[in-house]
Amino acid sequence: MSDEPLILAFCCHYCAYAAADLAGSMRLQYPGNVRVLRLPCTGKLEVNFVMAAFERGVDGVIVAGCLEGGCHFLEGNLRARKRVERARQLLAEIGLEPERLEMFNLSSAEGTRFAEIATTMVERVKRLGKNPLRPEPKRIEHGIQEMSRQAEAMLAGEKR
Amino acid sequence: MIVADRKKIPEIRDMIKDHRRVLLVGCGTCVTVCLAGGERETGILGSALRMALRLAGRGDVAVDECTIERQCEDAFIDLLAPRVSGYDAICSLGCGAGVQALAERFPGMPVYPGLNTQFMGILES
Repeated sequence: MSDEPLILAFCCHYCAYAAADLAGSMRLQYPGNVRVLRLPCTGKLEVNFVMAAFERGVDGVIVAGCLEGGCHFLEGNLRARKRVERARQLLAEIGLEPERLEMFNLSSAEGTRFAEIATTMVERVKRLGKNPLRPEPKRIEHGIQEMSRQAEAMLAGEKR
Repeated sequence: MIVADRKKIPEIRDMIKDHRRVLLVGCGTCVTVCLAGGERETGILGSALRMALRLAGRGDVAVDECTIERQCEDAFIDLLAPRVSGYDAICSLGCGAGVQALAERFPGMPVYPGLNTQFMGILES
């Protein structure tokens, strides 16, 4: 992992994910630090998911859902907003900047806006600095090696 | 049912920071309904405490979570007994009755309250 910030974007299948897809189709440029994670609706987002991301060293989290009143499941995005607010309060209590987490509402036609959101968040996180909980690159490498060793051992067991 | 609120994270962190292995124990009854100490809240608090401890330079403190159906009944606390032996402190996310019941069942093990028990009430909506 380099010194570049890592942003995780929880995107609703019906809007933000389609907008991200559109941004790609439109050949729009936005930072490659954003990893998109598709949810069936932002209402599926749990505070746990956000906390787990920060605990593992992610520098910023975007939650992108449908426009208010336009949720495919009626009120999933409104629930997500409440959960994001709760997670922000928790981050402040812990001592992490709540600005690292933000919810955005956009429609599937807003590819340009998705690119803008990604750029804004990357710039914001760069200003805040990296997540102090981010593991050292050596530790990550060690973890990856350990996982691959375990996988090889499992495969060897299956072959016997 | 009993209604409780979670203590602030820095307060819980300071209570447990001198231990090596801490078990967060949630309760699946009243405090689950008032969104203070159920399985989900125990998971969230566990994650938050691990982060708070690491930020305070106490990343060596291991915090694990589990939730039992009811902390105020011995039959359910017994299910927890095999797990508790590997820890040197418990942080209970049950109401006052749950904390007392755990302390009585595991003498010699420090049991810290993670919630502030507020009142006994009825859910109206």
